Amino acid sequence: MAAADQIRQGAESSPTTERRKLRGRNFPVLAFIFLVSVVLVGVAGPLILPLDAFSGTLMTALKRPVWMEGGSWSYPLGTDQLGRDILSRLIVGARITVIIAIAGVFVSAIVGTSIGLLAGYLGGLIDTILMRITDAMLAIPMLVLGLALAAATGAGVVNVIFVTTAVTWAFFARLVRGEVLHIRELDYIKAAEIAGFPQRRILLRHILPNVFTPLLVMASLQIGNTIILASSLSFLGLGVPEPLPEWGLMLANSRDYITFAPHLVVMPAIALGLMVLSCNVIGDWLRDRFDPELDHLR
Amino acid sequence: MKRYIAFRVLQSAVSLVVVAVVVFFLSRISGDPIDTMLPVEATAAEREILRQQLGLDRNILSQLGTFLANLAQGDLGRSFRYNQPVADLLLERAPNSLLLAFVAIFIALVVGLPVGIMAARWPGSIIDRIGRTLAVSGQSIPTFVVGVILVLVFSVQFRIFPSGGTGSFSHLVLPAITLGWFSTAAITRMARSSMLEALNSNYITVARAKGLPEWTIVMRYAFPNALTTIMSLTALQFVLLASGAVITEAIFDWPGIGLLMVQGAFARDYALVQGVVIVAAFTAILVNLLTDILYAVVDPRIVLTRRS
Repeated sequence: MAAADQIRQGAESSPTTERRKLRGRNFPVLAFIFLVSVVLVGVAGPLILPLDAFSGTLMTALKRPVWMEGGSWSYPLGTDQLGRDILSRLIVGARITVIIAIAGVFVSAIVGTSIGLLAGYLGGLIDTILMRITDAMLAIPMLVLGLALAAATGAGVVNVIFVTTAVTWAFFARLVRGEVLHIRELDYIKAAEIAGFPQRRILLRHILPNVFTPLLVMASLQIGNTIILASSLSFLGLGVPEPLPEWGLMLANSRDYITFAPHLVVMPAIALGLMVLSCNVIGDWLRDRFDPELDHLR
Repeated sequence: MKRYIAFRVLQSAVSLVVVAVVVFFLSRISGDPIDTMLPVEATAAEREILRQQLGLDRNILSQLGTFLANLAQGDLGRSFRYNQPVADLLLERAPNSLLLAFVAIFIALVVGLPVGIMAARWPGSIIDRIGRTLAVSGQSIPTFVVGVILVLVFSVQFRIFPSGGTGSFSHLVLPAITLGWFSTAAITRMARSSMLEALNSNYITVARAKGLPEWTIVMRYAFPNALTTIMSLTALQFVLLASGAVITEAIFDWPGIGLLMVQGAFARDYALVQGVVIVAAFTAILVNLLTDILYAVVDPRIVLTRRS
């Protein structure tokens, strides 16, 4: 690996180190509580929705939140330009964000892990080819690649998951391949090979379980990344399509009303910021807890 | 040293080719360009004619060959939205993007360096806490949220800066801060950690024992040692800016390559989008290469560790 890459990795490890110091004792707890409530709210969504997130009347358009002048408890966080209740929209948005984050990272981890396992264990030409492709993917700026793919696939929740997978699998592939290179030199793998176990069994039963911990940590660290990527695409209009209340999309749509209804912009912004922050804090905490040596993961 | 540089140049050349090949196949997998270039009611015969004109009826490997040969001559294809060569479009917009990027990095350095250095000098102090908050927010708040909030505060509430467009220096302020946000966090972090490391070395203890003034110790003794790390990080930030630039330029209608790409993506102008992807990746690889070489020149230890 190039020296610059090492520097970059060093650089990318320090944010987490910084956060670790910053968060003190309560940070992960707060982040965890926030995440759990977002997930619960996302899952329970329709059951607890105060109002309809998809329809409203112009009569009730652009109402202010309850703590501002002219606000009322019937719309706690106000309404948007079409009179839709913002709290309800944020709740549905939470569900969309959670689905995309979990599905995106899960698929990406599976794709990346498979490629990393194959490259690391088989070695030789296959390793070279797979790793060159991995490096090429990592060389393309994430959002640039994501936008290009989104332009081809078009908007849609499944398409967003496809795009985030295509953009982030390389992180997993590189990580897993590195771990496998290390593990396959260990004696118990040699023993398994001498015992004549088939390669498939060695890969899946002997190597894969030992990759799980770093994989889990990487996955948790990639969640924040995936959320930012997906909401950026939605913000640009090539991610989650209308009328779904994805937070990035809500933010983009409310920009026209920014002069007289700033709360439209602020609500999804806060939701997104807290969500990504919480994911990053939890990711760091998991890393510290299970694999402190994996400071280079990012 | 020469061997190391030659090795890195060769490695980068391979990366360039691989990136080009990967982008070529990605664009072929992700959709048939004919579908987007012709209206739905086009007949099969019309499609076939366009296919032949574009050379899409040929063997995929020969298409790849043509693609790479054109690329080697700086030909990125033709944008059908603008009906101009993509390379010309990019060159035309590049100065705007570069200007924005340089100002963003400048802001990141002007804010990040002093905060990082002071945070390292007085760990746990107020300034250290400010620095950490900056670092955390830089990583957790998406670029587009930063941009829109800045517009809300500085264009809508206080009416200090315009919310988009170009023309004067004040048009540059908000986009540059938005774009520099992430890098400011990264540089603050890096400045702090590399300065902390330098300040904890033995030679600093010696300097203190000699009774040198504190300012001399920090700036003349510790800082130069931290500088190499900070320098290369700054160069890498320049690469990472590409993603943020797409968002920033879209928010502020800044007529750079990022905005061009977003518009191209909407118009399904594949040649254009593909051109931006290739240029962004090539820039990243070349900046990485230059940073490595520069780093090796400044700090010979790098080459030694490479070799062993």
